[in-house]
Amino acid sequence: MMRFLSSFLRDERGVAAAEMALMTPLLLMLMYAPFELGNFYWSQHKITKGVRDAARFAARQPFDTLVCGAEIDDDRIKNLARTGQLAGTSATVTGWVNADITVNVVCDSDFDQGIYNGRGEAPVVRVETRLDYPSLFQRLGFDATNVEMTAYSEAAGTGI
Amino acid sequence: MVKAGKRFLKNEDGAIAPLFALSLTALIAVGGIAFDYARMASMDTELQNAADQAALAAATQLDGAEGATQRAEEAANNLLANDTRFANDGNGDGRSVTVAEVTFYSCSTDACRDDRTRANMVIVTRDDASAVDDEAARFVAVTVNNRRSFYALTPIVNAVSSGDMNAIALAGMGSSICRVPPVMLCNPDEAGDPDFNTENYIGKGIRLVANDGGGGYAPGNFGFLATGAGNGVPALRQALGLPTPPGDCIRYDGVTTEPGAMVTVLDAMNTRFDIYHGDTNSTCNNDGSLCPGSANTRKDVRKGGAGNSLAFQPGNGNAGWKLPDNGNIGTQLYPPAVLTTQRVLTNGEINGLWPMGHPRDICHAVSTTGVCADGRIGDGVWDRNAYFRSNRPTNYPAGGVSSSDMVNWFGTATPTRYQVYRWEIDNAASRLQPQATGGGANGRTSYGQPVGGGGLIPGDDVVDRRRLSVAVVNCAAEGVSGRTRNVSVKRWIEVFLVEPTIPRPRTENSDLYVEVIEETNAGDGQTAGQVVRRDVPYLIE
Repeated sequence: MMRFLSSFLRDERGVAAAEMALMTPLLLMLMYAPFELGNFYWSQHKITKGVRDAARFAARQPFDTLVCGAEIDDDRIKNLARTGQLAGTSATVTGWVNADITVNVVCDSDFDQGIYNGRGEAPVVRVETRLDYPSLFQRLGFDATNVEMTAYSEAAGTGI
Repeated sequence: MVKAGKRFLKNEDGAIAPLFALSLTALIAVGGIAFDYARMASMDTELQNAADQAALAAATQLDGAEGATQRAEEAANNLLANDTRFANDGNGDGRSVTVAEVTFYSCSTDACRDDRTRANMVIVTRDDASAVDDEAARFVAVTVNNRRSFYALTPIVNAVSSGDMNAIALAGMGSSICRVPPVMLCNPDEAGDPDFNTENYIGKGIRLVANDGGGGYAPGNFGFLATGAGNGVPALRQALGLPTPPGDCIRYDGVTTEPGAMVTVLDAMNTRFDIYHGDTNSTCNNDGSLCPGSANTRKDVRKGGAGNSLAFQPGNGNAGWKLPDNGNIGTQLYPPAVLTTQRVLTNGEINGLWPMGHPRDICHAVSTTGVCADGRIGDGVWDRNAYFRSNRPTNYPAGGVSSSDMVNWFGTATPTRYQVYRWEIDNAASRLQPQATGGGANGRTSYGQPVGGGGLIPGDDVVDRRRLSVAVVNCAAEGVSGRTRNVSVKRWIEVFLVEPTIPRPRTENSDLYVEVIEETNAGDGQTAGQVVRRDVPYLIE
């Protein structure tokens, strides 16, 4: 028994497996964390770009639809943010749905001249979104399950 | 010891480790560069977007009116906010992207007209004391404050941050004129007032003539603009006759002129006065069904009792609209032959005048070309007494209209024709009634409201059929001749159609007489019914 134990302790076969077992968590992090982080940045970039496009589009809607203090419930605007197309269906970020996006019009009565002459105030469109970050590997790299992404963009309403 | 050293040098165990250690730095750097470059690119687009939206917001205020630059600067700073999420410089602004500088430009050089870049533009210096800068500023450049992003994975070779990054955006205001007949006029006083300061001309009549001799346009000519509705006479007739002209909106600046087809299409313009010539039938029918007249079509022709024709008939007979002749009923046209010097008519002279529409300025009425000091531009003095007395007693008191009456009605003793016209519409029941003499086929009737139906009352959603938005062009300087492209427009002005274009002793059927109402407004303003001017800011770079 003692002989087996001492020979086991001195045995160097399979040492790589043992080292591998020790290194695996670190290697997994090294491998997956950049993926996860890169994907997070990419997703954030996509929602930023999405709301920006949507705000530009919404700002060019007729003034009749830019009602002060109201929310614009126009799926075209939300689709544009989410998919890049007015009638698109596949979201650029997994799990991004129209309900995550709000389009609001806030008016500023300090600006009643220029193209707002006769209107009394300037409508500003604000497209905002908030959604859970769809993690690539869940907990493999690091825990990204409860990370939220937000983005908004504001544009001065200019009518058609 | 030496032996051990030799063995160490020759030993190749673990050779991979130093190799990996050396390349690890490069591997991390390559991955990191990709990561950080993406971060920089994202931050750059965030900053650019913030600058773009601020510049667009600023451009909405560049209407050339007083305070425009002040308002534009406030709009760039305060109207909206956008943020950056990729900058991590701990800047006091937090995530907000703030505006560093707002610069105004004008585009007065030829180089700029061809190529609108900041290099070709002229900087307009802010000057709060005067409105010169407000008028000149047509473009605005917004620069946002510097931001940095600190690198996450590549803090090598001292490049620990992206360095300062900012963005600049240049925007202008694009305007177009929609739903108006495509009419332009050549600045009648191009030499004396090349900028055509509209406020100097409000209430004054302008005598415009068609460029029917061909060739280059001269000051005081009028012409038409291309709208893309199609070429030739039919399209132009539609554009002049229909309440909603076909074709595209017209660019506010940089129009294209439409050559030819001058006189024959003006008949379509006369539908606004309830006059339907035979040659406009295909466009407008021969009544007000397609091309309704204004609710006030008072004019200096009267209708004969024979038949229902609403065409202008210059010859004998009792059908259609006719000029007063020297027959037994309805004797003379304004201006009468006795008016040869600049004066108001006596009451005795007025008794023979009937019917009478809103007249020309007196200095234009005295002869074919007139004696106005400013040539084609009148002085705004028209024979109000003759107008009101001629339309008595049905519509105005038999004893004439006194100054105090006019003050009560119009708020001034010297109302413009347009004021009278609008007031008459508001009081149509008492002021726009027909006046008849005789009966049957020989009867003659003057009408204040259209016989052919229609009768559009100007309102929020209803176009004023005797009000036009026309482009004022310096035709000589621009060398306008035939189809000239990208012609610079000095102003868009609102004018009132004073009289139909028909041949009279002192006018030709190619003459157009208009009264200046005001400059065409930005935004909605007074002309909501016309939907005339749309302004949209646009980005240049």
